[in-house]
Order: sequence, then C-alpha cells, then structure tokens
Amino acid sequence: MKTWALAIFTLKETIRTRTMIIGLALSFMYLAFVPVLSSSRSGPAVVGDMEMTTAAGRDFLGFALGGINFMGMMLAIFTTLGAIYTEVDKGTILAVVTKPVHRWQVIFGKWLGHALLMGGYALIMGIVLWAAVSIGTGTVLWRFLPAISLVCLNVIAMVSITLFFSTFLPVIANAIFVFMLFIFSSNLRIINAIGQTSDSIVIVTVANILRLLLPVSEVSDLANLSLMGKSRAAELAGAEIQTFAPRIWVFGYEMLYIVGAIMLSILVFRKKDLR
Amino acid sequence: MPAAIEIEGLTKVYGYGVDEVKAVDALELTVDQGEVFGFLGPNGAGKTTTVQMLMQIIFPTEGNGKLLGKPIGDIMAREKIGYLPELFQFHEFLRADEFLDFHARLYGIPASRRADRIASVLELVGLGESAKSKIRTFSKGMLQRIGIGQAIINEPDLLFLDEPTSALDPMGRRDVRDIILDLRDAGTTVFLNSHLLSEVEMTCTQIGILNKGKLVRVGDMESMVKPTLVVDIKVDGLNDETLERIRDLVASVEIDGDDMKVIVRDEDQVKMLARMIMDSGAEMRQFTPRKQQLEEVFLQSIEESS
Repeated sequence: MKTWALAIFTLKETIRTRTMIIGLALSFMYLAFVPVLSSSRSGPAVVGDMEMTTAAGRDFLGFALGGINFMGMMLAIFTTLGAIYTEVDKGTILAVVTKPVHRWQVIFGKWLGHALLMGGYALIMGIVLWAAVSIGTGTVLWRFLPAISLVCLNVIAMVSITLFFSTFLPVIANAIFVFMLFIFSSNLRIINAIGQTSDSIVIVTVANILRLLLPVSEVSDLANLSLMGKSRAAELAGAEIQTFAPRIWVFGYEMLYIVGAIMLSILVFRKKDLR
Repeated sequence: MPAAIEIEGLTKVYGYGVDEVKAVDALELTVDQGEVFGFLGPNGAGKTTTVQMLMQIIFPTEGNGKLLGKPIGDIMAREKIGYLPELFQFHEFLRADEFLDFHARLYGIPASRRADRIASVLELVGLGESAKSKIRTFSKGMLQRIGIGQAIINEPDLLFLDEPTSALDPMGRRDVRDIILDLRDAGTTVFLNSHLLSEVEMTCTQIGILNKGKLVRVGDMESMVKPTLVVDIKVDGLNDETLERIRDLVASVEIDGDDMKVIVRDEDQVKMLARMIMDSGAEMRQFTPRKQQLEEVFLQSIEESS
C-alpha cells in the first residue's frame, strides 16, 4: 500500500510537469502528422501475398512505432532525470523517508510511478494508432502487439537507468551521461560495420558485447523486426539488419537489465546521507 | 516504559584528514516519555545533524540510539514518530487534504480512519477551511501549520520539530506554541530543536545545550532556570570590604563600571544583599531583582564550553 501510494503520487506529480505537458503536446502533433510523414515510405510496400492496403498499414505502423519508441524514451529520460537527486536537493524527500517506509520502497515506488506513466504513454499511443490502422485497412495487424510491448519495455528500461543515475548524479550530469550512453549504443552498428568491412571478428564481437550496455537500440530493432518481418525489415534497413541483427533473447536481457538498474538504485540509496 | 529517546555515543564526522569535521561528537542523551525537550545550540552546533541521524536521514559515523525503545530506523517505531524538518519543502501541487492523505497513507493509516483523521488534524492546525486549497497558495504560517499536520497525522508518541517557528511572524509562533502545548498536555514527547530561546522557555520541560557537537548542559527547565535570581544593581561608592562580603554571600558577581549583575541563590539573599549595600553607605540608584532568563543560562553554557 505504501509503495503504491508512492507510485501514484509520483505519477500525479510527473504528469503535471512542464516536460510531460510539452511531451504530450508533441505526441499529439506527431499523431496528427504521422500519416503525412510515413507516406514516403509506403511506396513499394507489397511483400509476398500481402495486400497493398495491409502492407501500407504495416509500414505506417512501423514508422509510427519508431516515433513512439523515440519520443517515449526521450520523455522517459527528461521526466526521470531528477527523480531522486532533485528531491534530495530540494528537501522534499525528507518528509517521505522519515515515514515508516523502507528506502527500497521509496525507490521502487518512484520507479513504479515513472514506469506506469511512461509505459502507459507508449502503450496508449501505440494502441490508438493500431486501432486507427485496423479500422482504416479492415485488417488487424496482430504483429503490432509484441512490437509495442517491446517499445514499452524499452521506455521502462530508459526510466530505470535514468532513475539509477539520479540516485547520485545531478540533473545535468545525469542527462549528459544517459544521452552519451544512448547515442553510443545507438551507433554501435558503425563499429560493427567497420568490423565487417575489415573482416575483424574482434571488432564485431566488441560491438555486440557493447550493445548490452544499453539494450534499447537492439530491442527497437527487434520490435521493428517483429512487426515488419525479416524480408521487409531487411529491405528498409539494407544489409545492416542482416549483419547486426537483433538477438531474440535481448528482450529477456532487457528485463534483467531493468531489474538490475532498480537493484543498483536501491543499493546506492539504501545508506545514502540525504543532505 | 522505555525512554522516548536514548542516545549512546552518537557521532557524525564529515570529510577526511585535514578537512575532517565532527558535527556531532559522542553524544549521550536520554529523554523520558511525556517530556518536551528543548534542544538548544548556536548555528552549526550539530542540532539538525543529531535529529537527522535519529530520523535516519543521515547515518551516524559511530554510536547508536533507540527511539521508543526500538533501534533508530525501526519501521514499527516510526509509525508512532512524527517529524517536521527545518524549512520544510512541500509538493506544492497538492491540496491540503491530498497532502495529508498522502502522508497518512505512508503511515499506513487505514482508509476507514483517514478522512476523519485528516479533518481533525486540519482543524487542530487551524486549516479546516483551507482543506481544498492548493498548498502553493499558502502563506509561510499556513505552510508551517500543514507541515506540523503531516507530522502529527499519525497521532505520534514522539514528535521531532526542527526549528518549527524560525520562519514565522509572532502570530504564527504563538499558533505553533499552542499546538506544542496541546501535544504536551496529550502526553506526546516533543523534541524541539530551536535557537529561539523564548519559545523553548515557554514550552519545554527539559533542555539540552549543544555546542560544537558536544552536549554541554542538560536538565529540567525548573532546575536550570527558574530558581536562579539575578539582581541588576547600579551603585556609587561601594567600598572593597562590602564588595568582598557580597562575593562571599552570593553565587556570582559581575561588575561593569557602576553596573553590577549579581546572581543569588534564593530570595532571602536578595534582602541581605540590599541591606549590605545600604549599610555600607553607598548610593544605590537601581536594585532590580529578576529571574534568570534561559538566554543567560544558554550564553553562559556556550561561553564556558568554548
């Protein structure tokens, strides 16, 4: 009950922040413009025996999924950056940690609030688009559901890692750290490509191991693959997707990654002087 | 019945090597249940650090303690402990009743009791009519009152108040003082951390004085302040012989030009003192007996310990 009270409180608090309001406004604009933005991609959409409208709907959802994934992760970062550090800095956390709650409950309640909000955001955005496409094309694309679930997982992973850094880093330092990690993990395909062209197994292996530092890019690829299918995904991404393909087990790893980030947050916060 | 607060060798050290600072140094203290304990000290003495260690906001370098008979940090004990931090910061987007509801949930107060308890606390702290107002619209006095509200929502047996009146005007101070006196009458142990001596004098039954992290004086307010009488005297032509006789008679004599401040042990000594000066033939222009103020005890304790 206490953890739940903290989670709901965090959710209510975050949803009122300027960051969240701007994020939601941008999201609605994106929803309005996504048909226009995705039209350039739906040209050669017929794959196999799939009907033209269904293929166009799938491509549309694929494009939208990428947008939801990106916006969800950005919002997750911006709304969670000061989750712990700012509360400690402002002193608002003092009245909470001195109540009969364990420190792990404070962390878990905060995480749960942010995860529910951001996971819910990605899920609702996805479901709205999915329902619209299903009605528009007359075909229900069931493959979208695992894909949007992976996007939700991605968003929650970003919440978790940002929350972890917020237990000891101020907002700006946290932002720099998380974005560096995000940009680095998103561009590992370049290192992989270098390894491929130079036939270096070492470089390719290193690139694949480094993907585990922040698995969101790989899970994004997995979500896209799950929605589009192998051939269409390869068609859209070129040869890259073949050489740097997402590993199927990465979603399980991302779940463990989330658990690990929460555990580390609790470990750091458990005996921290809050002054 | 266990003591409300038992502290053994509590120490907090900040920094390392040459930068090492002992904010609290081997503090030993016991406060019995039902007392209103005034914890005094100049700025930087370690008062807030001590309270923060007791509330486990920060962790002691050494030593330990018990609150209501349970080790510091015990979750069950905390259900009966309230705390108002110094310069309390609020989640201002909430209404007063929502704010108290959140804190009541953290105390684990069941839903069936929450609404009644919130209403009675809002009345107690004088915010009954502002229940639906946003906290961001509150004045400083109202903020302090709602802060006290969250600290007493659980009907605590032990309440820590860290500088509860420092940001308030005289009216606000009186309101807070009245709340403390109500709690004292209800048998709540109050640990009042303050540097406003008049507040402490009016509300506390015991005091402890902290300086540079060390407890330099502790005891009942009665024994530390009230029996001591001070006589302010202005006199011309007092001879050395009479002055020596006065010194032998009273507890202490401070002379500054024509002004004398004499601390006597009882009211009989006041009469004897007056007679001695009159009999010596000196010209007495002022003779004002008064009870010693806490401020004097405080300053004396700080000077001695420094």
